[in-house]
Formats: sequence, C-alpha cells, structure tokens
Amino acid sequence: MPGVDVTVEVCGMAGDGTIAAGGLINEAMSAGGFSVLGFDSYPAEIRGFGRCVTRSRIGDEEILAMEDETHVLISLNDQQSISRVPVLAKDSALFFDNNPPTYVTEEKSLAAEVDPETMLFGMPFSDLAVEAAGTDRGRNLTALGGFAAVCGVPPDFFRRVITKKFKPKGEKVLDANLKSFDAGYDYAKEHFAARLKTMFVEPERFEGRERVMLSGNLAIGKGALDAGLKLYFGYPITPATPIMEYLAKMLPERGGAVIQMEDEISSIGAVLGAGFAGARSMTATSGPGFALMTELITHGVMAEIPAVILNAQRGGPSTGLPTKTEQSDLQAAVFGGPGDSGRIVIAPTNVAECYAFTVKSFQLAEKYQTPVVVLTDFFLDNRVENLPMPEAAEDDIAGGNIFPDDSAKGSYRRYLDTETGISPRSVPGMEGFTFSATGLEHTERGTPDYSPDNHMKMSDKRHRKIQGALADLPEPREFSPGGKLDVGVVGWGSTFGSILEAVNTAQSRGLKVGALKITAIFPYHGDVIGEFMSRCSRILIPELNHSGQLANLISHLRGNDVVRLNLATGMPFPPSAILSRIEELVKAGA
Amino acid sequence: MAQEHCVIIGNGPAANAAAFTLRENDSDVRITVIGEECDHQYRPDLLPDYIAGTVAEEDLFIGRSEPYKQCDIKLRLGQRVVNVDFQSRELVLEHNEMIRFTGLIIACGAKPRIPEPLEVFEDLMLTLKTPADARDWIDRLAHVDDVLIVGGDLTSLSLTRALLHLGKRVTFLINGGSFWPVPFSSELRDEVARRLIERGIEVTECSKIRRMVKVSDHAVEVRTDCRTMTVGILGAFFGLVPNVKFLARSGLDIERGVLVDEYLKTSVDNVYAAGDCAQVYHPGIHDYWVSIGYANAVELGKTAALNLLGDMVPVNVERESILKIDGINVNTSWWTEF
Amino acid sequence: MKTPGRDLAKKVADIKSAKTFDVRSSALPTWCPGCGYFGIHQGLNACIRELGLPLHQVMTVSGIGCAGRYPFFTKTYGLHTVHGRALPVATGVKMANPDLTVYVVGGDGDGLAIGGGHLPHVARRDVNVNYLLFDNSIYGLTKGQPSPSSPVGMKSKASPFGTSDKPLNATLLALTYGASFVARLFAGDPRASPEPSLKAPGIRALRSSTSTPRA
Repeated sequence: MPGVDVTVEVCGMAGDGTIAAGGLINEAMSAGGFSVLGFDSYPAEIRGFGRCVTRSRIGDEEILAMEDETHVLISLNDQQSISRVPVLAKDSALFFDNNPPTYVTEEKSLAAEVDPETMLFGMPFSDLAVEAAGTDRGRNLTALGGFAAVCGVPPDFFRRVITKKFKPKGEKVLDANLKSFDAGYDYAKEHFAARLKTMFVEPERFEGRERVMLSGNLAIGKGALDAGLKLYFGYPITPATPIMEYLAKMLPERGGAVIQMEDEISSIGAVLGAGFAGARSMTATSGPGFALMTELITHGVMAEIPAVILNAQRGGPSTGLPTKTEQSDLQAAVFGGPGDSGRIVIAPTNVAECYAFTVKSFQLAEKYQTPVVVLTDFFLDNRVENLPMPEAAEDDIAGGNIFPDDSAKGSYRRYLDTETGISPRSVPGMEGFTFSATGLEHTERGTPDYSPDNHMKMSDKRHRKIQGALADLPEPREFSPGGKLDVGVVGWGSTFGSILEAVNTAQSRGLKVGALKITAIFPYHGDVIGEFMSRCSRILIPELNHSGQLANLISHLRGNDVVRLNLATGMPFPPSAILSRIEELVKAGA
Repeated sequence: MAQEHCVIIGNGPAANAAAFTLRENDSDVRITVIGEECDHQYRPDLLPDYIAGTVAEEDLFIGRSEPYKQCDIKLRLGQRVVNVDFQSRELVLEHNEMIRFTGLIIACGAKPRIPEPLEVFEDLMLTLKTPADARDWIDRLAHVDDVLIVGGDLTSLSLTRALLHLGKRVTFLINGGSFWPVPFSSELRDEVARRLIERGIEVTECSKIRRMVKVSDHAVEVRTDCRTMTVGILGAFFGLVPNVKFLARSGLDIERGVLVDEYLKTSVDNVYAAGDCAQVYHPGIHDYWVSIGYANAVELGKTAALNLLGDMVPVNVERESILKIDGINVNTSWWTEF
Repeated sequence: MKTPGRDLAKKVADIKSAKTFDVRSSALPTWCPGCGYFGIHQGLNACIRELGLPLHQVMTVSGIGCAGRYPFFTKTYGLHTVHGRALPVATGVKMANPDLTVYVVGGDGDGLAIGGGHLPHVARRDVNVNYLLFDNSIYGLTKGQPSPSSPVGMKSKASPFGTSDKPLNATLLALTYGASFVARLFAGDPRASPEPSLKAPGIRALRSSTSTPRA
C-alpha cells in the first residue's frame, strides 16, 4: 500500500471557524505523527470576500510542497466551497451540511457542482452541534468529527488538540467543543459505516524533539527573537504583517520594542539608525514597501551599516496580487536602488530555513556591515509545517561586529581598506572613535571625496567585502546520485520544495536527474553552481515569476541553453508541472 | 421562461437510456440524472461473480463520467430525492436542495423486498441489489462458512453458485409460493430444487420463519416452523419492489409502482416513468404490468424520453424477452398479480 | 571699522578658553561665506560645551542639503543620511542607545518638503531628539530653487514668473504636531542658545531663521 499523502481542505466564510478547523487538523495530524504542510488562503477578490480556505497536505514522509489536488473537502459554507470543486481529485470525499435552514437552489448547491465520483458525506453539522452542545458554534468541530470517523483518524488525535486549544477558555467551552466533535464522529460512524474511506494509517512516531506547527512568518519572528533582536520598525503590509504582530507581543518582555512607523522609508531609516548605534534591528515588508526602502538600503551599503530586511514577496508589479505568491523581487533585492550597491541576499526554502536564516542574518549584517535581505514569499510565510522546535546555536547568535582596538584611538579610520574589505567599526558611545558616516563616496576616514582613484578604491573595497561573505553563506545543496545527469533542476525559495518533490518522483521512475538548491542568492557560489551545471545535459530553472529572475542572475554560468519554466499564477508551484517538463527534457535528450 | 430542464431520477438502464435518448433528440435541453447510489451504473448480473472474486470491481461498472460530459448531461450520484412537488415542478434532495424541472422521468428502479413478517429482522439479513450490498457480502463472507438463503429468485441462484465457488456451505429455504419474478409453479420449483440438490445444497421447504436471534457478530440462530439452525449469514431473496416511497406524499398516482399509461406518462403532465418502478397500463387487458430485465428497462427508458419530447410512441407490450439464468428460462414480462 | 589689536587678542583668548572650537572638526564648513549656518554651528557648539556633553555621547544626524553636511564639521558621531530621512534614522539611533544626545539638523527642503511626512510622527511618538530646522526659505545646494517656505512670488530659475505656492510656517506646524518644546531663533544671534531645548524631554523642534547669501 502506498504511503499516506492526502490533501485536506476546509472552506467557509469568515466566522465559520474555517481557519480554526484547519489549524486543528494540522495540529491533530502533526501530533499523531504525520508530516504536515498547511497553507491557508484568503482570496482578495471582492467576489470571494470573506472566503477562507485552509489546505493541509498530510503524509507519512516529509512533505515538500503543496499538491495540485484536494482529496478531502470539508465545506462549512457550500456557496464558497463551489470555488474549490475544480481542484478536487477524482474520488475525493466531501463533507457538507445536508440540513441547511432553508432550501438551497441548484446554483448555490455544492452537491450540484461536484463530479459524480465525489463521495458525498452529508451531515447535519449545525443540528448535531446544537443537539450535543446547545449551540451551533461547534459545527466546525462536528464536521471534523465526521472527517475523522470516515477517513480513519483516531478521534483522540482531535480530542487532545481540542482540549489543548479550549481548556484555557474554561471547562464549559471545552466540554461543548468536545461534545460537538463527538457528535459528528458518532453520527458519521453510524451513518457512513458502509462507506468508510480510510486514508490514514498511523505512521511510526518521529524520534527526538517534539514537533510543532510553525508558519514561515512565525519562524522568522522566533528566529529574530532568539537572535537577540532589540528593535523592530515596520509598516503593515501583506504578507509580512504577522511578523510585526508576533514581535509586538513577544519583544517587550525581552526588553525590546516594536515601533509601527509612518511608512516603509522611515522603517528602514530607523533600522539603519538603530544598527548604526549598535542594536540588532530589523524590518519586514513586501515588494511595494521594499521598493520604497531601496534608497536607504543603498545608504546602508555605502555607509556600511548593518540592517536586516525581510522581503516577503507577493505578486507584482506595483500593488499587484497582495495575497498571492510570487518570486519576482529577486532582482529588486539584489540590484534595487542607485549605483553598484551589492548586498547580501539569502532566501530560505522552507520553514526551518526561515528560522535559521533569520537568526544568521543579524550576524552576517554585523560582520559584513551591510544590509542583509532575507527573501521569502507569500507561500513560505503563510504555510505551516511541523518540525522539531527550532533552536539556534550559540555560534549563530554571537555578535558579528569587529570593533576597533585601542591602538587606533586618535587616528581611527572607520573605512580602513583591509584585505577582506571589513573595516573595524565603532558605535556611538565609544570614546576616541567618533566619525561621521555618509551616503556620499568617502575616504577611509569617512570624509566625502569624489576623486576617481578614491571611488575606484572604495567601490572595490565594498564589493570585495560582500564577495567575501560567501564563506559564511549556506552552500548550494545537491540532491542527486552524483555524476552526469540528464536534467539538473536549479531553484530557490518556496519553489524548491516542488522541485525536490518532482525530482524525487523522476528519480523513482528511473530518470537520471538531480536538483540543486540555492539559498545564497547574492553573492552566490558560482563555482559550485557552475560545476553542477557542467554535469547536466540540460538545466531547468522553474520559478514563480514571468522573466526567470534567478535564471537571469546565474545562467551565464552555463551558457544560453538554460531552460526556464516560469509560472506567474500567484499559486505555489505545482510539482507535477516540473515533473512533466523534466520528463520532456529527458525524452528530447534521449 | 428558463431553459427546459429534464430531470431523470435514477441511474439504472432505464434512466440512462432515457438521458441519452433525450440528448440524441434534443441538443438544447438541460439534462440532470440523479442517482441515489454512489456508484456509477453497474451490471447487477455480475454482482455474484464479483462476490466470487471472478470479476474485478472495475468491471462491474458500465457508466463512466466521460460520456455524460460529452453529452452535456449532469450526473449526480449519491444524492437522494426525498420529495417532488408537481405543482411548483420542484424536487427536493435529501440535503435540502431544490431543483426545478420542466420535464421529469422517474426511473428510480426497485429495491429488494422484505416480506412484512420478516421486516423486524431486516438488519439480520443481507440482500443483493447493489455493489454496496456485494461489498457487504464480501466483508461478511470472510468470517463465516455457512449461508442460509431464504425465499428465492434469479439472483439467489447465481449467488449460490458464487458461494459454492467460495467453498461455503449453503442451505436453501424455499419459501412461499413464488419464485420471483414468476409464479412458482410446481414444475419450476422441482426443477430449481433438483438443480440445487445436485450441487450439494440442502434444500428445505419450510413455509415460515418464526424467530431470528443474533448469537454473535458472525452467527444468527434461525427458527422455522420445522427446525432451528445457526448460520453465518442469512440472505433474503424475495424479489424487488418499486422504490417509490418518496413519491407517496406527492399526489402522483401510485399503486405498487408509478402508474403510467401505455405512453409511460404519469398522472402529471410532462412527468413519465420507466423501468422497474413503473406499472404500465396494458390497453388490451385493461390492467397494469411491470417488467424487469436490462433490455426491457432500456426500451422503456427510450420510450419515455421520446414521449417527453413530444412523440407519441406506445410501449411495445407484446415484447417478450426470455432471460436465461443458470440454465432456467424465465419470461421477464409478467403480470402484476403475484 | 578697525578692531584694535588688543581687543582682537582678548577675543581670541576668550574663544580659546571657552573651548567652543573643540566641538568643531578639522574640516572647514563648505557653506558660502556669510551663510547664517555658521551662526547656528557656533551656537550649537557652545551649547554642547556648556552642557559638558562628552562628544562620543553626542550624535548628529542630518539629511541632504547645505545643512546635511553639518556632521562633517563636528567631532561628535555623525550620520549624513539621505534626503528627508534624518528624523526616522535619528529615531532608530535614540531608541537603540537612549544615553546618546541626538540632534538632527536639516534644511527647509529636507524637513518640510521631501521629509515633511516624518515630523508629525516623530512629534507624536515623542522621541527624545532635538531637531534643528535651518529655514532659509530656499534650496541652496542645488542653487536657488523655491522651497516650501519661500514667499509667494519668489522668482528663481525654477520659478521665472514667481512661485504661486503659499509658504509653510514650520513653527506653527511643530506646535500643531505637539512637539514638547518649540522655539524660534535667529541665526544672526548666536548667543540665543538652544540650551533650554536640550533639557526638555521629548521631541524638541527648533526653527532657526537664517538666510543664504545671494550669489
């Protein structure tokens, strides 16, 4: 029997408890030992206003990407759920309320839309909840009860997480919720006894640390906290806002502060000011805000000030698709702003890396005295994965700044041209090392100087410094049997999970293919990437953007035959699309 | 006025023949087929072989989604009609959905009949009409060695063959005066009994079951007026009855099935019935008859569809089709007096 | 009028003993001769000296414009930022290290035009920094375009027929935004010390009227 790999959706209107139900599924299945990847979506279109959809892919092996198809749909609002019908797999199971208070017409009926193969599990969610608990507020849990009974989830998985979630709200609330769940479970066990559709076989328990459900955004927030963040300056923008909200709650008790600024320009300005004064500070934004920040980011490059900027990418250009995912800010992150303003850009590919890279970014910013851009995307920020609670190593948290020693007192040259390009940096309050930093080109002492030789020398110093950071950046990771490959797939960001899933499948079908994960976007490991590319007959770079921005950056390492696979759909990259392209390329090369 | 919408209740041979005939003759009409069972249209005659393991599950099914999509016929499965309002021309599904129709063909078939005295024991007996029933048999047969068949009809003979194939011990309790769907003449009864005994089946002629007691999950004690036995499964085979209970409150003319004239028209305009659920008027004898059998059902379905579209095609009541089951010839057109 | 030699010597000795010039860096201000900014510079330096602030505990933040160059002319820590953004940067500095005395210098273009959106927010956030707005009613560094505080009708290369926009009143704006201390000084009077301002808590906006020598 093939392993468990099921995608479950809950769809409803705001107020139906949709997100709560989806969250409970994630928690329950995670606690039950499954691997879970969850991704909620809230379409911004007016037509879909108020619609909430949670998707959870549940498996007994590590889940790398979202699947195209949904196997179980739990509808808390049939009219909203009609929009989900196109993604339903054949033989999917549909749980819906079959006793709405009024008759529904065909146009508004979910049962009218689904394929005939869809397995319908109509249950009177509201009636059962009211009967069991005296209120229909728990009808979402009644629906979960039905799902558990039919699909073979041990009810205790849910009872435990329901208890955890509702116990703080008092015994009464907890009791009502447990009863609502049980009512759905018992009803389904009795009424659907002949049609149970067991989908979940309990996997072996994961060894080691307890696994927690964590979103990319929360992992970033936790990473920043663990790294000793002092100040967060930001301006609300989807999809980065949850980071600010998380830190606003957590940072004060650690002696830090979150300040909501008047715009993104002032946010990065304050981050640079705080960085200049020696405090770990950061901001998080998305494309439009990042665009506003670019002038000051290059000021940080020029004046050599540490700063951490998280760009949670969404669909663009301009306001674009605020609630959709895209990877189209790579070029802005690497090149955005006036002049040759090289900076460090890193991009995590999963939630664990969101945490680790955020932690590391503060140290990198201090050591290389430069803004560090962490590039995530809507899908990565909002999806939840279950993983062992991430922890940071002391080495990764340690301060990165190199301070001047006392011998430099009186003759301190803030921008001393060293071999590494890193100049010892003082911070305000240190006696004997005062200096003025500037966005003008300047001498080693920081004095403005536009002379030809000086600009050449100082430009070279700054770029040498950034290239030198490569030693501290994560190397590309290859997923292949090694040696010559028919197709090598190179990718970054959240798309890499889809790439890896496609490549794993292709390998299991006997194809000689491999994947290369790039997380250091700038500077990048040209030698490692070039070596991988030279071993592959074809190179495929799938990206969620229209122009192939990573391909634009690195394909010179290969030549002009890099195959691009660009999707600008606003949706996570479907692994199946990558797989079929891989197979085409292998076939064409054979 | 909105687009014409023909709804067909049922997903058997009559219903599907009606749906595709409608489409062949009218490319514009909206067509919806509503089947109560979750499965696509299947071949009931293969169910015993499926139980025996000689036919794969996927081979049971005739229907697939694609032809419906190609013909723009909306197929809904696993959805039950619970009421029809002929006044407002709306029908109501179990999940409180209301569907408007301009034309309706009732072809909801028949379901296994449990004689009244045995109704209280319904949960202790298995029937065999649908793939879901067959799956039940398969599940239960995994745990038991002996099966008692009560009543008797064509299906029970095929099932008996399947049970023997599986090495089960079968007892046959020939009950009552009929061997559905035909009157149980003494010649037929002797013929059936002889064939059963030849195969090592114990045949008992007992007229009445007095009691049934569930002894365990896999054993039922059955007491008849002449003996008591303990069996693993009890199969009830008393023929079929039209599945029209949901129409009782609708005001439609119903006797056992939906009463229709020789054009298959019911007592309501633009509402027709076909297949196992219809009782068709025979102008020659001034009485109603019902039919079973795949070919008959298809024929009736087609006729109902054509007449709904405005043709006036009478049913061919002279049609006689001989069904051969297990070497016994059975005439599938019969009168309703049994 | 000639200054008698004895008086001059006494004046030099006084200035040296006041150590006012110790706050100045070795770099010569790039402002035009006769610019009112010299007066502000002198007054602010005297004030830092009088308060006895250690220079490494003082931070000068500036934007772009003639006033933006200010940090290069002092021995404090300095940050010459980009156009209009000195106030947010100073916010970050002060929050990161509240022990620092932070002052922000900028012109009327920097503070009222491109950076005009930041003043109300620094004021309502009550960040403990001093803001010196050098209001000369003109863009000096780019050579004479009208600024938000230029009078109606001012003719320049960029407004050959006279500007028609009404001037902003920085003092009233600062009062309206709720700055904790607002004062208006004249650059021609360096003795009008900004000292009281440095002692008041919260954001302090000082508008210093000045003039730019006409070329």
